Amino acid sequence: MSASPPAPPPIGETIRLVVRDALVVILTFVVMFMGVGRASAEAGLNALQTAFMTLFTVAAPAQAAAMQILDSDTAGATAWVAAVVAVIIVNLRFMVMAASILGRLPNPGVAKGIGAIGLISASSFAILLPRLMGEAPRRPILYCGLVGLACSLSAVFGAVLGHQIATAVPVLVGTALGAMIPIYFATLIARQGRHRILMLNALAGAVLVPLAAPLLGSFSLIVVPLVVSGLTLLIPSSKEA
Amino acid sequence: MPDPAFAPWQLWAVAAGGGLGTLALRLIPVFGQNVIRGERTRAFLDRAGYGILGGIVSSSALKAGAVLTAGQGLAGAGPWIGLGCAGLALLLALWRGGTLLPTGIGLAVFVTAGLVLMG
Repeated sequence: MSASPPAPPPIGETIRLVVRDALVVILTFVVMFMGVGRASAEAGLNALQTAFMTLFTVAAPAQAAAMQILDSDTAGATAWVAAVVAVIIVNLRFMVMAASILGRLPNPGVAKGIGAIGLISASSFAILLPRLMGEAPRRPILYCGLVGLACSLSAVFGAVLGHQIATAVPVLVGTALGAMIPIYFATLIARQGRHRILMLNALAGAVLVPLAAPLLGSFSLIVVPLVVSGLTLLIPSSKEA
Repeated sequence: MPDPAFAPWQLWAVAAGGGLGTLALRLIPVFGQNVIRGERTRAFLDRAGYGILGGIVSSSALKAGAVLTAGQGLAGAGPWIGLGCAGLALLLALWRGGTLLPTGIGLAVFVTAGLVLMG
């Protein structure tokens, strides 16, 4: 008779790891999404609509683009369709992010897969991928789901707060919070510093995505990294993990 | 709040269409998990993921930095300040490890530049 399987690690351990990894993003999201909430109010959405959209979208650039379309002086009767399409286009990158995270999870199946990556955003992806590729949590599916949920709920809180009070955050404070995201993400990229090919892809993305943006728009963030990734696969490497 | 220019159902369509449409995008790979489990596919996605991260870092750093010098004669310098702070944090993290201390140092440099440039 085989020995009974070991007890699963306690949930508290996973929650502590989620808090440690995601706290910066959670706090930043509250302030960052206040701007989204304010834009939503100006475009005519009520607080419930703002919360619903933020909960599942979790993408400030996409939501801001949609609100700008709705709030434009030239918005016609079908502008709401353009707003939805804009959100979808800006968020196409989530497909690649979700696929990348799913590929690192131990056969989650459909239900657990949805729970793990259903609320993934660019920010939670930046937390999840380095963690899964480094010292992975012992409950990776729960970890992924909780990071996504925590980021999403903090975004909802910030958006509703911004919708309700619509107060202006001092410019320098808002700017510094805006800068915190890329600065923090840069340190997350560094976690894979020993994988030169990943760093090469990150560097290529950093250089080429802004250069391609005038030509490709929102698509630059998905098209450029996919092309560079495909090209680097042609480079033979014996050290790649 | 201004009078809404759209009917409530149109605003709900934006909220639900944007939210649930994004959710559907994330779920597409869930139903193709067998396809993405190959070693080469995973390597492709990991590399693309890091390319996206690099793109997010530079794009948002450039945007945040641009605010520092908006409307000033140094308008072209602001984005580079944002990028430089992210680059500094990256180098510190590569050199000494960790995330919070390099983030704090990079942010401190950014805020200092902001205090100098924005007054």
